[in-house]
Amino acid sequence: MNSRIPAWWSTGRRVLWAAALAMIAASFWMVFARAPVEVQMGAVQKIVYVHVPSAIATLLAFGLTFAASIAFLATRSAIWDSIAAASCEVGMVFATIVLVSGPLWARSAWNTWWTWEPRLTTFLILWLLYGGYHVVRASISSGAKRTVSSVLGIVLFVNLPIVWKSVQWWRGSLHPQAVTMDQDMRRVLLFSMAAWMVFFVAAFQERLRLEALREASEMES
Amino acid sequence: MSYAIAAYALTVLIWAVYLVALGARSRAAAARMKGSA
Repeated sequence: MNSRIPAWWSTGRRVLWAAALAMIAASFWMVFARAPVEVQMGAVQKIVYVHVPSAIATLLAFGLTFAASIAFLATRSAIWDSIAAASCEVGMVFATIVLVSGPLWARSAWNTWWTWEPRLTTFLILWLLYGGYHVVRASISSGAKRTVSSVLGIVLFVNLPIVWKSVQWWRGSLHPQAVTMDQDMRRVLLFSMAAWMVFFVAAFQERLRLEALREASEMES
Repeated sequence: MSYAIAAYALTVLIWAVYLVALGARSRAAAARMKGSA
């Protein structure tokens, strides 16, 4: 480990990964061994325990990108730009999982892999736009990279409330506005959310570590 | 059940691919840093 990355980070990330993987394994066991099978949908309803936490992690990750982008423009401290980029990339992975698990649910629940209903359409737009963030960031090598990325991180945030509110703002949504759930199912969903949040933190710090290594490499060259 | 298992299998696969790639990028960055030091 180089001198620019503190020693506690190395120890902390092992503990974090151990906790994250143990919690994910436990959540999978709860999903398939403990959670009751939903009466109408059957076992396919179990997709909700990975789909919903991934969607929430996506929104949190892009929310963190937004906050860190504002902090960078206000302070010009490189760490905020690193946090924004790291969070955005991990958010993209979560968003991809939402877009992969969603059609598997839709095929069973709505008899179609994809339909242009408000939540699906706005989420796909969100995924494409944040994908654009990474394309733009990777294409700029000058000092303007951080400023341009931060502006994008702020502007793109406008999509998040649109995705969140899409089921209320547009008619024809197949996603429910509110979900009622059996107590045992709720417990499994809450634990799955906690597990994926810890996993998010683990993946985020791992990506942030890459930024730190790159920064150190650039400073020493 | 097959759709549910597919969703979880794809989730694990996507994360595995991403984390392996991230590990490779980190090792490459660390090697560059050592090379320039």
